[in-house]
Amino acid sequence: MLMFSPVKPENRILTQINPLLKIVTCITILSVALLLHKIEALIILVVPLLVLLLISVRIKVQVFGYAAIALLLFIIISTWLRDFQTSVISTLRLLCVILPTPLLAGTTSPSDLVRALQASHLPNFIVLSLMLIWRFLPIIQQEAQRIIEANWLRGVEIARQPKQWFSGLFIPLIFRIVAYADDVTVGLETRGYDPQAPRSNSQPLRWRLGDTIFVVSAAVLVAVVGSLEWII
Amino acid sequence: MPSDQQLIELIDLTFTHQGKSTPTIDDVNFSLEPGEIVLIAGATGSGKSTLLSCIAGIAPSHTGGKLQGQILYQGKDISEWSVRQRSQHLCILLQNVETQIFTERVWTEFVFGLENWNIPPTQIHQLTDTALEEFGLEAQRNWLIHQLSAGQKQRLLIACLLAIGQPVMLLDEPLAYLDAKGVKILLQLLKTRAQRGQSVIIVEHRLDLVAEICDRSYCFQNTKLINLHKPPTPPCLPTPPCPPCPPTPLTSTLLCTHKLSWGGYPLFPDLQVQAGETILLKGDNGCGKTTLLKLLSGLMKPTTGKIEILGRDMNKRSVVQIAKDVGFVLQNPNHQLFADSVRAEIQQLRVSKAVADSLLEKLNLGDRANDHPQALSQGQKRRLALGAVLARQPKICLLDEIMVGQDPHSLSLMLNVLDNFTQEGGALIFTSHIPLPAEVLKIRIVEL
Repeated sequence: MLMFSPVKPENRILTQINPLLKIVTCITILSVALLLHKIEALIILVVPLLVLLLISVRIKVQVFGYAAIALLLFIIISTWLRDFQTSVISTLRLLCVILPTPLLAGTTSPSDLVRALQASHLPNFIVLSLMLIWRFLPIIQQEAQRIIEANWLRGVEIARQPKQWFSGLFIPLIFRIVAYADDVTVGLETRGYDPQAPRSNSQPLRWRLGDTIFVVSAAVLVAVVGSLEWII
Repeated sequence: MPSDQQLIELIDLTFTHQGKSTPTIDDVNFSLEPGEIVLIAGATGSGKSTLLSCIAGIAPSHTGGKLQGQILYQGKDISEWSVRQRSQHLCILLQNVETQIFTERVWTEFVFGLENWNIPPTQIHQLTDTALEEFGLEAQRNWLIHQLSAGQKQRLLIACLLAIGQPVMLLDEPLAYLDAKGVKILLQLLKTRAQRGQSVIIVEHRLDLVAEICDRSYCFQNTKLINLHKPPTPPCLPTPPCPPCPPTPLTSTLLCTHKLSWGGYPLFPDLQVQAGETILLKGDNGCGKTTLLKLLSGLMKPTTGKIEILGRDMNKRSVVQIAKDVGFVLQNPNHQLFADSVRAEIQQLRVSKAVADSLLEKLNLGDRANDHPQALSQGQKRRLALGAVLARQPKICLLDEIMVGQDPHSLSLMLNVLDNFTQEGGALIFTSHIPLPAEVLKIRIVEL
């Protein structure tokens, strides 16, 4: 089972947005977050990201629990090392850096990403590499889950037996990763993929109303955050 | 369709795998004419898939190893051609379909392949619609691929590969996961394509099904490709090596289910499984056979209904707790093999060396005992995964399509081991599209 997966197609909000636009917005948000020092400005940036994540990507409650515990630990350690205010700022910044990843991954299909990258006229080998990575990450997550399940079926509760992690999880996972990398290269060639060869595009990306709304909303968000930080 | 020009010609082809001193296939001479369907049979690990890999260019360029001899396509030596170059003329279906699927939805998978071949967009939609209709996948058009069953994925990939219409098709166990309907569609389609001049080399263990459409048959024996002159006969299953033990009286109920349901599947039939019983879950691809096995093992929790194992309610128990009584051999054995040797895989905690060795012999893996599990063929891995599960002596054993990729001899050994398990009071619940004589394991069929 995937830890996060897209919600049903009819509920999509971000899935129809141009992937390149999403990538550029994520990079902008990340850059702005690194410049911010006011807690309220950072909160304004984090809240929409969190809301979008909740409505666009289905995440297991368990994963939310783990993330909350990790953040709490982060706050405690950074408060102990510095002070509470710095700790909160660092945590909010961290959220701005982390949240766009599941948002992007959970709302962008590999084929949409390839089309977007093709449209941007990036070299084909980069398109291929990014496509493989995009497909690779959820597959590895899936493989890890299947291996954990296979351990359960053998009566091994792997999460409670750190001694078993190496032989029961890491080794089989490494085997699967290496095998996958080999197999997928062969598989791609057998399906006719060649990074150097011309490729048709049956669904070229077009600018849609949703893209305009997305750009305007992102610009408004950055403007509000900027004014909170530097003007007010 | 007769023709003077041979499509494929193999001359003195020999291939030796990396790290091996003896060849896997030796001195193979073979030709394929337009419109021919040729069957390649042989034991698990005998070199059938290796031959297809050599023709498709996967071996040695991706696998390593040493290739000698010539491979000609329409009279031209293609030894220097890449896999992609060859795939313009020879499409190949690999054993593990997961490695040839790249997108997230059924229809985008068709589009992906067609775009790779630079097919004009106007034709792509038409070709996609035709292929979806031809392979009965219209209803699944917008499905996410992970929602498909193994059989549906296999059907999808075959449809994708055949959409372009290359002159030669290399199919490695294309019927492995297909239900009766899928098999019928594919065999009819291959016959039609052959009549139009396309040629097929098909590697299969389900000989009874392929024999009726193939023009010639070959078999790998001791690295040599032998012309069989007449279609091979279906295997006789099984031949017990030892006299059967007296059957265990069917008295104790091991498993009981009541009104189970999950997701969008219709209500699963209620099961009542006694000690010594063998249940075959039967149904078309995508009807929920694997889902039902996962529910019984605890990997998935039912939306409604109740599962009782040995009189205890299992709904609130974890997979680890259920695993004490229930063993599950998964469809893909790669996830279930952890040890660094075949013997160690079986010889787990509380399993003696003698028991492990005996199981290995019974499963025809004795000579591979010191090899790494990942070095085995898919069929051998499935037998090993079965051995590892049975070694833990579960009360109930769930088997998901593990008879795939087994040659008649290996299948017979596997069935003998399973027969012993039920004779000793265990219960089997399994899925398989491979027809088994009902008397082999005294199978009770449950239709889904």
